[in-house]
Amino acid sequence: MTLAGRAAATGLAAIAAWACGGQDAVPRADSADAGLTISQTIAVEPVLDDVAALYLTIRNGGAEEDTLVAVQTAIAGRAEIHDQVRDGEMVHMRPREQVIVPADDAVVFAPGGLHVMLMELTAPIVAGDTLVVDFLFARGGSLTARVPVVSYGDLP
Amino acid sequence: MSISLTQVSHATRRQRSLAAAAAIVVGLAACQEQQVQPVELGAKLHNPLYPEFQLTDTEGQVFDFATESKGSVTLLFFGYTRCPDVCPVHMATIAGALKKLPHRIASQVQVVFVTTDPDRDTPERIREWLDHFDTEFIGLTGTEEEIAAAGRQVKIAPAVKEPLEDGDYLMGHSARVIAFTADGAGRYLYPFGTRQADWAAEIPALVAWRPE
Repeated sequence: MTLAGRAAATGLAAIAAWACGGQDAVPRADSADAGLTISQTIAVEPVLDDVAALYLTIRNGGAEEDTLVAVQTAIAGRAEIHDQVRDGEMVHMRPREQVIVPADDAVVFAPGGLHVMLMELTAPIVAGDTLVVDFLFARGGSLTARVPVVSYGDLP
Repeated sequence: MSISLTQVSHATRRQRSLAAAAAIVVGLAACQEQQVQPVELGAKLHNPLYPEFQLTDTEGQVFDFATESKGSVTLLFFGYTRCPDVCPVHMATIAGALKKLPHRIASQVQVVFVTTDPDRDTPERIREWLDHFDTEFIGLTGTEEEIAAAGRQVKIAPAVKEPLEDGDYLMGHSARVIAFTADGAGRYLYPFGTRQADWAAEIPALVAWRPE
C-alpha cells in the first residue's frame, strides 16, 4: 500500500469508527419502541471559554421520522444545536431549533457540521470526565447518554 | 527517504485527494446515505501566492510574512479563538501531527494563526489559546482592515460577524489552511477535514518540496 493509501485508510477507519460505533445510550421506557439510539457521543474540553462542543450519532430504526427538539444537561445552563454550513471555502455557524432524524436513517453530529454547544457551563469540563446528557425527541421522548470528554487533540 | 516521499507525494496527490474524499464519503455514508461535499486534500494552486503583509505577533513584534515565510514550510490559517469547532480542530490536528513527526522535519514547519476577531482576540488571549496546542505556533493580529487585506492577498474572503441571540457573536470564516513551501510561495490548500494522519503524510512532503 502506498503512503497515501495508508494515510487514507487510517482516516477511513477512524471516520467509519466514528460513524458506526457502539451505543452509549440506554433508551428509557418511553422511547424503547421508537427505535431511537444515540451513539458515538463525545464532548470536547474547552480551550479557553466556558462553552464545549458535543458530537453524537442519532439512529432512528423506527418507521416514522422523529425530531430532536432539545438537549439538556446539568453541566450547562444552555445547550444549543448548531450547524456549520459550508459556502465554498467559508463556514458559517447556524443555530438549529430542531433536527429531523428520518425513519430508518441516522444523523451524524461531527466536527465541521452539526454539533451541540454546551454553554454557560456550571462547572469546568475536563478531558476524562463523563457527562450525563438528555436528548429530547418529539415522538420518542427522552434519551439519556453518558458522554465522555476528550481534548481537541484526542478527537477521533 | 525524503526524496522518495516527495515522489510518492507528487505521484499520488490526485489519488490521495480522491482517497481522502472517499474516506469522508464512506465514513459518513457507512451507516446511512448522506450527501457530503468531497474534500480535496492538498489541492495545488495553479498560481502560487506570494503575499506581502505585515501583522503583529503575540509579543508585539512586527511579523513580515514575505520574509518570515522563507526558509521553512509555513501553514497559514485565519480563525478566531472563540471558534467552537473548526479552528481548534485544525490547530489540534496539525499540532498532533507535528509532535509525531521526527524533530528534523517538525522543526522545519511553522504554523501561523491570524485572528479574524481582533476586537476580542487580544495578543495575550491568542497566545494562551495557541499554547494549548503548541507553544511554537505563531499568532498574529492587526486592525480589521489589515487582517482583511492580508486575507485578500491569500484569496481568503473576509470573516463576517454572525450575531447570537444573547448579543454574543460567532464568525463565518474560511476553513482552509494554506501551505507555503520554503521558498515563501503558497502552493497547496488543505480544507477542514484534513486529519492528523493526512498532515503526518503531507508535512514531510511539503518539507521535502523542491522547485521542479
